Amino acid sequence: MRKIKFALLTAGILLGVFWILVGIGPRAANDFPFGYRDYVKDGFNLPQAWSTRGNGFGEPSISVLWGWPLDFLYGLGAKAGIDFSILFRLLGIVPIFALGLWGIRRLLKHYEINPIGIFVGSLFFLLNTYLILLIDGGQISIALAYSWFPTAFLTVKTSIEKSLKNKIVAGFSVAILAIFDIRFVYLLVILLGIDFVFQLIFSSKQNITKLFLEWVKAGATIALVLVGINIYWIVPVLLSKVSVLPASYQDVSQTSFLNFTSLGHSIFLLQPHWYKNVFGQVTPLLPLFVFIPILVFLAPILKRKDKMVGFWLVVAVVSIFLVKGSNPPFGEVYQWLFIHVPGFNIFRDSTKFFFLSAFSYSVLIGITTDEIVKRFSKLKFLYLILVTSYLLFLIRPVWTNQMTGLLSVPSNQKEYFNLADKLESDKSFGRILWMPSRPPLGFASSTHPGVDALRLVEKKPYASLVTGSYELLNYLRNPFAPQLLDISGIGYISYPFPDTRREELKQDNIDYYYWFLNKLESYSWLTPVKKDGNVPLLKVNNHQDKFFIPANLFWVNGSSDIYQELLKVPNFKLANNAFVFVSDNPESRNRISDFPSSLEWEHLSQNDKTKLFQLKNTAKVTYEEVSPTQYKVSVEGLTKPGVLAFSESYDPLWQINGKGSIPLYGLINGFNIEKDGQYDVYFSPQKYVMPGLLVSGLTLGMLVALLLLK
Amino acid sequence: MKNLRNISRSIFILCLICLALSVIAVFLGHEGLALRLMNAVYIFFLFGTSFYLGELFISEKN
Repeated sequence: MRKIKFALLTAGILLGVFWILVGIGPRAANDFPFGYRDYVKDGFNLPQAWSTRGNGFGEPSISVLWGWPLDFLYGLGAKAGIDFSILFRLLGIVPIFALGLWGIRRLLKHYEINPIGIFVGSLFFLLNTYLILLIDGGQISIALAYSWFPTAFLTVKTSIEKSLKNKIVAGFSVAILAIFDIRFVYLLVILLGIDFVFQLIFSSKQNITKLFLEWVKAGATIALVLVGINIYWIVPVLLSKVSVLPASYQDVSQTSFLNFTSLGHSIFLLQPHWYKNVFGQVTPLLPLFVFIPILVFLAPILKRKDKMVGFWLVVAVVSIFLVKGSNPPFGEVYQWLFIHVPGFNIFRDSTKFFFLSAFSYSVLIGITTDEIVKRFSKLKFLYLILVTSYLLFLIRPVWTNQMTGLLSVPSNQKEYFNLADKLESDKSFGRILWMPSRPPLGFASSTHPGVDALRLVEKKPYASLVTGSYELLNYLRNPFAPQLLDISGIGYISYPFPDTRREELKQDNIDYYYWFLNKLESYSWLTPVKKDGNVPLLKVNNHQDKFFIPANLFWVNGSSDIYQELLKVPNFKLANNAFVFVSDNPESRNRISDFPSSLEWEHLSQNDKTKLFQLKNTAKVTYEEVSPTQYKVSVEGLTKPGVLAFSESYDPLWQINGKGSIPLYGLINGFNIEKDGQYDVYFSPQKYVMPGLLVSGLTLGMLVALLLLK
Repeated sequence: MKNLRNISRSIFILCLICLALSVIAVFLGHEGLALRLMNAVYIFFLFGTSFYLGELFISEKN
């Protein structure tokens, strides 16, 4: 009864702290943009190896398909007519707190900590700055992994000396952790590794072999379950040779670039971006947080010679060191681990290790409380009130409504939803360029994918239009910009006024915003659709559909710098003249023979070029999107073999009739087409998904049957 | 061995003292000193944990 009372008290406190999430109003954050219904519905599909969600131009998504079951559930909910505002609460917020509270309470109970210790430990686990900023920043799946972690750890730990059934259940719990975020399986392995070494040291010589065998058996069973269930994305990764991680994950300098955590932040368990959560704006060390490590360090002082305390102290020592990443002291160790330890490069952002810190601190604080209550039983309620008030005081920006992400009411809601209505009524394809990046309530759908203006600069043709390095968006003021936006299928540009809760605007910033906006509104290639308010929208007068056929295809030995030259040609239209830049993609040179109608730029005279630039394509292209990885394209009226342009990010794994694409304009895909007809354009790794999914389904079915029969 | 028994406790107490001093240094605006004291906190925590494990190991083996 007492335990239930404490569980209810914790739940009540959580409800009071996170009151901003109660209700059905929309909430969104930079990493968790609002899901407009059609986009969310798209999740109700088989796993797709290509996605336009992260980047409106599309990118391979095989390496993040481990999260597909969650997407599927969101899609199912949207299909059933449930609004996204309710869906994210049902599938995100409620499970984070319910699973977290249940898991940490079970673990602390397993360690035989008294109910007050369990209460304080659980409260700390759910009310620390790390978890709060995960939720506020919209990293919902990581927060889910965080709350599931204690359950996964306990299930695996208790399965080691038990039956096969327990080991399979442990495998399931690790598989669930992998669905939330596969990186945390790595953290679980680290934690279990420490536990294994710990048990090895403290077991008698006779027991070592038995212990070793039990761990091997449990490890093998859990690994088999995990791999079996995840085979649907492992097979395409292995067979299609798609890179699992972006190139930046191989770059050791990222460990410094993304690292803002000092040793002080790490010891105080203070997320360095607390509480505004603006990248790079580091909060100084807040002295009030000092009582957190004091409560932690009291555990070994109050409880002597205890294996549990010893184990969690080791976890705390290791995690404090890892959380501070490449910062001093001994920052080189983190960089060494990043380079030399297999798989460690998934932690280029060292704050992920706050996960282990928060976990170990929660247990140690629970132990400290347990010991204090035992020694000073008369003062236990005073202690309880003091510690609870202290923890609540530390996180006061949450309950005083000062947060800026998911834990706040988004600004300009009405304007964003009006804009969404306008865009939804336009059924023709056209991307939306959000300046500088897509805001949390910014509209996106499969017909109008959202593109971040700042991320476009990473693409070579756009980068070649940028002048200087201070103001990156000046490419939009380059006279060649409309041509590039045309072939990129950009249909709209929106430039919302900056969010003043997250940015401190000076008069210069405000002047610059209005100057740039007026400049855009004055261009003849743009038509203002919505001028007033904080979310203006401009329509790009000419833009290509997702598929189009340029009249000419040129192979250029140089790079996209020739665009500046082409500006001088009167009436030049880039969409009529496709270019393959061999120096940017040397391997594309081998493909010239596949495109008999193409011409080598350097072999043409100025006269030839001028004549060719006058040609216009007369063929008509229509298409049907079967899925994000397959299109049926019909071509009519083609007078000679040509090139079919497909405006999704270039990837040689996009194919027509078994032949891969070439990089048009250094940006999108191009395929050779000889005659009129229907063509099947598909992303080749997708063919491995279905067999993999079948194996995953069979594994899941067999394991469930095994559990039910046993 | 008997002398080692309470070493970890003393080290953890030193750790707490350094922690308190580092907070005072932050209050007084001595960021550099606070940083050095924080390093000391971690080193004492590391040593305290090592000695704690040592004491635990000895008592288990006895």
